[in-house]
Amino acid sequence: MKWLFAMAWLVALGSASAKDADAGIRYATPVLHWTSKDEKGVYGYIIYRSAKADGPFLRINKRIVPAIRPKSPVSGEDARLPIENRYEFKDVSADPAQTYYYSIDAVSRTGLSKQLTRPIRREPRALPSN
Amino acid sequence: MGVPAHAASSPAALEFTPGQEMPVEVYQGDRERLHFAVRNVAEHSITIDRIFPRKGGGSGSATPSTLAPGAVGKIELDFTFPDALGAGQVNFLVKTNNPDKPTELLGVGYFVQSAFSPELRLFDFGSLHTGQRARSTLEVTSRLVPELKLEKVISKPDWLDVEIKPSASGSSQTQRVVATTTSLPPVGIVNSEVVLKSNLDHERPLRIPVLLRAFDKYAVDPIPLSLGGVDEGMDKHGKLRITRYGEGDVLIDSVESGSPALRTERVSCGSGCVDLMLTFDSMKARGGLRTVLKISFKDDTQPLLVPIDALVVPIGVKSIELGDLDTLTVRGTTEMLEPNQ
Repeated sequence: MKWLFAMAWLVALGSASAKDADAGIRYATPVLHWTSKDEKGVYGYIIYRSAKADGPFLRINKRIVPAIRPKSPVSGEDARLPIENRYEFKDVSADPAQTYYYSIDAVSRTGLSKQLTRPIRREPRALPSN
Repeated sequence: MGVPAHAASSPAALEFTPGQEMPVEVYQGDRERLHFAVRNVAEHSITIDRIFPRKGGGSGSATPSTLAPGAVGKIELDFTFPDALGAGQVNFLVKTNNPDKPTELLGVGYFVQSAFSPELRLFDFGSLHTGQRARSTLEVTSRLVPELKLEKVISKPDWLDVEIKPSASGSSQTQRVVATTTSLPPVGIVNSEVVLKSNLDHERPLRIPVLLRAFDKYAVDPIPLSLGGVDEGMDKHGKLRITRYGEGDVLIDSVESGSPALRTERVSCGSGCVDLMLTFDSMKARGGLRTVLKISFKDDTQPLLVPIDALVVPIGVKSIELGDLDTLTVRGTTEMLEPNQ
């Protein structure tokens, strides 16, 4: 039952596609990026969102974002190096003109969760008009 | 994640294609309807007679039940997923009239999540004597709804009172569950469960296991006792501490080990305290030890029963002690109550 979980993570909130807001200004859809290292035993990730820093935070991904598995067993010298995986989650259910707070949990293959991030604030980002 | 799974012996005559994303992600105890397309890849017609899971509660049906060569039909499975968290697989047996392969396997990979945190939770009242009462408090959160409501108690042991209160933090997604013993259950290790109805989808219930060691005049620790791995031919020692509740000496009448491989010796450990020193002789129980030690007292009609186990490890086999396997379980905060509380 022991879940040894070593992970270095970085969450960045970027932007990808855009939507039209009421005022005619176009805002970027929130996109979460995170990087993991040595995610042995991790099944995937759950994303939570809130309009306020103190919650309530609600789960927004119906299916767990699956952890990336190595395509082939790592052996030799490479086995000692942590495998770095990069993840991206596009929050298409968000109102891009609103400020949100996000947090991410990692879920082990035994079904146990661990919070990866403190809530991170994401401001609306207007896209240049062209 | 094993979809579809086929028996290895002769080539499969049926091909299954899932109609939903796999593995299926569910919450503890969820009942789900799953859909698969089924294609007859044999050169003759096949009739599906029955579909059922190898383990657990569930059923399945095929429409149409008879498939011409190359024809595609539908399979619907109805399955109640287990409470055990994490990744797993259930195999459905598809019984057909195909003489070459009368049983096909349809494997369904799944991942069971908890709708609540902590995922592993427990009301652990420790050891209680006759006349003692205790209260245990646990905060439970769900981030599937903006406001968690635990609406009523579905089931609980008779000797436990359960109250639902707002969270101390004021979070709308957290509720405090307070369990208080009202009387003592029968002496021994008591495993029970509190089940509460929630406002989550499917009325997903909150289940909190309850653990209590109920004693009358005397208590024993630890209970149960695991001696772990013992190298073949070697002895292994253990200790049980017996304490008396209230004034007086420990008046042991007899100790029955239940196995010729287990010897006991009594050593005083102060007023109202006796240690039972145990020696397990692996030469006398080559398969291992699984027994119940019975301690009878001169002034108590209720004996103490202590399950004891040990595993004999053959020479040359490397064994690893795994230690405490439930370190991730979150226990409620337990306090002893004064008689007037």
